[in-house]
Amino acid sequence: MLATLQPGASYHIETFDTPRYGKLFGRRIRPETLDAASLDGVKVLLVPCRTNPLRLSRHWPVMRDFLCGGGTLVAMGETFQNEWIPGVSFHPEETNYWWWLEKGADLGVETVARDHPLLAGIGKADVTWHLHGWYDLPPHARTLVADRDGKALMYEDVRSFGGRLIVTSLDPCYHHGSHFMPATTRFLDRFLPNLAELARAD
Amino acid sequence: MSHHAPIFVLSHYGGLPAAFEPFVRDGHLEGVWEWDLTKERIAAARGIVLTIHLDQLRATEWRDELGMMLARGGRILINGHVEQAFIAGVGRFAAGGRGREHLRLSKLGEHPVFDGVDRLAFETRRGVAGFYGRGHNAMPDGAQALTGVGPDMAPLDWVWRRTDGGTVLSHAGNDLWTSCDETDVVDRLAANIVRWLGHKTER
Repeated sequence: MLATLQPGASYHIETFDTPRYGKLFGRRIRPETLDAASLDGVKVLLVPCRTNPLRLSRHWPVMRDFLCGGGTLVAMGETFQNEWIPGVSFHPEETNYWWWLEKGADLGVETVARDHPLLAGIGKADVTWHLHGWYDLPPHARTLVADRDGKALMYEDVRSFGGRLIVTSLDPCYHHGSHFMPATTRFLDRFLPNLAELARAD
Repeated sequence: MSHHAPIFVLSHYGGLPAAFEPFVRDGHLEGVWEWDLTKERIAAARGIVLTIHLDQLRATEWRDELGMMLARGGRILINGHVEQAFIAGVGRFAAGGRGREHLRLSKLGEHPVFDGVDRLAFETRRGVAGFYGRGHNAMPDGAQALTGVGPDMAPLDWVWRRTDGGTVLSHAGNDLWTSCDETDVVDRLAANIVRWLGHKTER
């Protein structure tokens, strides 16, 4: 089963509680009620962008056990994973909302692991909106999406906790759910079904 | 009515926006983390500002207290898209069209929160439209439109001076103080908001 935390901001409600993506999720879990029982039968757990880390830190042991048990945890951008996932090293950067105004501009974001099932059908244009920061890649982790310098904007770590940890600084739910930036909707149109497929296959 | 300072409900990580910090230092505003906010504090508050990042599912649990606060003459500024009925009478967000003409702003009414601020200048930031707002929260009966968006001038901003007490000001976009890059304008907006929430200006 694919489950998501439901932090309750307008953009989370618009993303997870409307027909476009709602049917993909078998369970929506309020961060405050996250426990082992709420994850029973869950294979993939999404922590959507802009979930305040103050609401996540004390639930890390539950998520760590979920990972240790072979689960997949996907932690999206602006959740400041370095505040609640041990070992994550995040480098925030000033967001430039205007980069595309220059003719021929290229933000430089690339899907570097095109064979990865989570990125199936997702191209460069679908991961390009703006940047919030990059990560130091943990040993044995794999970069899935990178900036122009090859720094990780999304990575997969299958060694640190067991299970599969996906960490990304991309924040698509916020923009999609705010009716802004069509690239974020294109990204979610692929990424969320890919997550659901992974939950079925795992 | 409580003598507590108006409450800025903190929902996003990172705390209070810088423009509001001086008012907290001076005791004219208090930032409260949304999970520390009690129903008693809400019911007794003089003014409350909510951001686009509000946990609206939690806010629905405050519905009675928000109603009590308004009935006692309180003032609420809503930023963002209303997706849950946490204030009786305020309906859900409706998105407008995506074309450039659907992002055109119109000034429809005056309000102290916009004193000395040129709202129409918020239509674009560095030539890009859409930051200020792209739709409207359903306007209650008896409310007054302040700023329209799009060819139909949908009420992106409105004020609802309730006949049974209290006032709700709705801005259905990104948080008002993020609407522009000019620090002096942002500071002016923040000051206007704090004065309004503190009942220093007209409803």
